[in-house]
Amino acid sequence: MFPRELLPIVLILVGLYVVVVGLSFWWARRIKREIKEKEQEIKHRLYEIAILKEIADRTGYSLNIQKILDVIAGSLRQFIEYSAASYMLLEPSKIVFKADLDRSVSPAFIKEIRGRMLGSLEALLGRELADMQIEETLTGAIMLEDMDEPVRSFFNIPLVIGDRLVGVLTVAHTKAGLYNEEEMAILYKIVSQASHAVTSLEDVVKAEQDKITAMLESMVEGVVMTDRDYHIVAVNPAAKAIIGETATGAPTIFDLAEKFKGVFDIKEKLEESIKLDKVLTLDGAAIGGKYYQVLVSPVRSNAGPMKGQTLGGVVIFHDITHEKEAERMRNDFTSMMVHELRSPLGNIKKIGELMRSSKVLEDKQASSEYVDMLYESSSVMLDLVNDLLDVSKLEAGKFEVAKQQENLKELITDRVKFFNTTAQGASISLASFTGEGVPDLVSIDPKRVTQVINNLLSNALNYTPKGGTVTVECFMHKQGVAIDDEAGHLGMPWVNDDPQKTTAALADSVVVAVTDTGEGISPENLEKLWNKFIQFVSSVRKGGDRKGTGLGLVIVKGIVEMHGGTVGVGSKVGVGSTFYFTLPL
Amino acid sequence: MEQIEQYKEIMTEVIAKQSVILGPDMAIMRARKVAEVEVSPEGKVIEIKGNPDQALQKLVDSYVELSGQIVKNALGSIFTKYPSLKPLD
Amino acid sequence: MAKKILIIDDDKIFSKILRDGLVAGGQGGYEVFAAFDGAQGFEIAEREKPNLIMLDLVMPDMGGIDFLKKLRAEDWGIDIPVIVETQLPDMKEISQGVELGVHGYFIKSDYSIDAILRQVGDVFK
Repeated sequence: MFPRELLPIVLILVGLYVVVVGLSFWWARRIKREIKEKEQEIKHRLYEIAILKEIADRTGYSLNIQKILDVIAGSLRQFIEYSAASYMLLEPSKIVFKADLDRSVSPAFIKEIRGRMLGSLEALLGRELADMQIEETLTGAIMLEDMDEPVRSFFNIPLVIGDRLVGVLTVAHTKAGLYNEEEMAILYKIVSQASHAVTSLEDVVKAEQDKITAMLESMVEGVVMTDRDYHIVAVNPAAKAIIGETATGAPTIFDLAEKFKGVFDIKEKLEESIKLDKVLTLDGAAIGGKYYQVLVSPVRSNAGPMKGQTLGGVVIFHDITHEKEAERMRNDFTSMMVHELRSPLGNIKKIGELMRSSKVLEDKQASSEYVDMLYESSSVMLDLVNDLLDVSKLEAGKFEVAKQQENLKELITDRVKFFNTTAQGASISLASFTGEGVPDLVSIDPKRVTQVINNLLSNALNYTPKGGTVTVECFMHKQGVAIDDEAGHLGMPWVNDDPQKTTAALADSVVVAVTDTGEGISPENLEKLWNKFIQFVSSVRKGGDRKGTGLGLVIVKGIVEMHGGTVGVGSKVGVGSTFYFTLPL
Repeated sequence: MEQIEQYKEIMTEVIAKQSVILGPDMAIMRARKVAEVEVSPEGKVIEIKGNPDQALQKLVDSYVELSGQIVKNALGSIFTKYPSLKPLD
Repeated sequence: MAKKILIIDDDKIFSKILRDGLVAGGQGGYEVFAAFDGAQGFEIAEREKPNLIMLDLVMPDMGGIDFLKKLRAEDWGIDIPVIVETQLPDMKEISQGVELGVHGYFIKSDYSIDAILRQVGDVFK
């Protein structure tokens, strides 16, 4: 057949052929293996991703570790075969043990798993857990005595969150060698990733909590938060101050209730608020000398899986003591105002009634007496009404001053003359001083400035005892020199109020002042001089001894400020007072 | 060669401890994947290939890679029994 | 026998009006005294033991209720009839007065002299 010479070539060719075929087989097998490996890898990755996604979907942003474990254990069923998937969760007072059976096993099997899981936890914690109470729940297939297969495959996956061990997840099977290393490693990885996610989440939550705590700490309002069982979960420093000293240092709901005893039942209000899902407002709760507005509101979760659920309640204390005081002052003012107007009016009416009798009309002395009383009552009323109107206008910003060029010096002289008789009657010497350079004409509303000087002069005369002196002063103020110094230079009597020499900053102006040697005013009362409420009320309370309506100074201030000037007062108890005002040039 | 024997012992103990912690299947599977040691199917270290120190390190790292630092902390008690061996970092 | 009526009120004009009204309306049957504050009122009450006190509730220093408490603390003061007068009906004060035992009250600016006379007449019936 073949020529003998070609035999070696044929053999080589056959050999090559065999080699090539062999190689290709080998290659093919290798590629197949590579493909299979790749397939496995992809399958594993998909498995991993699928479980993680399921966990994310089903737990949302929950930090509830048990829930996460439930989800992981629950999802395992789709990916691997097991007899039992279980977990143990470490809680402060107990261990939660949940096992899901995919197929029936014996009680001994469960006992075995339990023991091994405890062993794992003990090894990791470095301490015994024998005395811990175990709360056991079994789901899925039932236990059967006769399913007497032991544990042959067993995987423990520790669950660590934020550096602390919280539990362990376990997969167990009656069959051996079912699982390979790669598949199980993925499971460990998944649990680890879930733990990291929770840890990060915990960090975020802690950061947010810290922010809230910082905010609560700095709040002026007292804030107390309770859980659904009315245990206090948060109390800020302001609230602690309101509640006061407590037995343990950390106020409880009882301390709070005790503090508000008689005012309102705080637990009842919390219940009501949560039940009706409404914010309740309690006004004017008086506690320990202060007034509070108290708000009670339910606290609901507004995001995440627990959205809409009521978490507890919050009580907020708003100190309204000042507002209440102001309200009281306003009420006092109003009721006194009414009283002061009704009295003279009522009297006038009664005098009318009395004068109807012919007997009275014929009695000349009685008639004349009643007419005097009519005059006095109506004057009193008119003064009050006028002052009240002026004050209202000032407050509404509707007070007008009609400025024109007037001779201020003459106006002052006129006023001094007017009050001379009164001064003499009270044995008080009334003097007047005018400095140099005061212009003849100053831009003022003569009627209103007269009102001002009248008020200051009559006050001075009323509060100065017999033998005292009242001086009316008028001089120029130059910016840069303090007014009291300027008065000093001119040798005018002056009671100083201005150690800081702030009046030096005032612009050039005319100064008009009334200095008396009267009782003087104490520093606390000095501040109250310009407060209409305080002055009016105290004036009314003085009763028959009172002088004027009490609103005079308030109106003086208003008139002067409408002229663009400033008012000031210096006083020393037992020495006297200087009331002054400036008028811009 | 006493050192080597000690290393073998300690590594066997490590595998034993991890068997309790992670379960015997995983503990042994991981150990057998470590190239520097030869481990029996029962989890006993038969042979150490190369630097024993490195081998021990690799073994422990393999577990840490799986479940984190916490499994390493649990080994502390084992190392106190072998004071002559260099402590792991 | 003339009935003694003591008026305690810090409003001098009202006091005068009331006194004149009582004297004229009582046709000689009423002897009227006036005090302008609680302390003075107590002095006169102790001295004269009036048959009726007409008491203003709102007064500086010793107010009406304070005077009433002091009066009722005395043996001779327990039974003296009191009519309180006020400008504004302050229910709190009026109820305090009722507790301390008053025969009635009237609003100063609302009641006419005739109406007040009738009230006084009722006390003496």
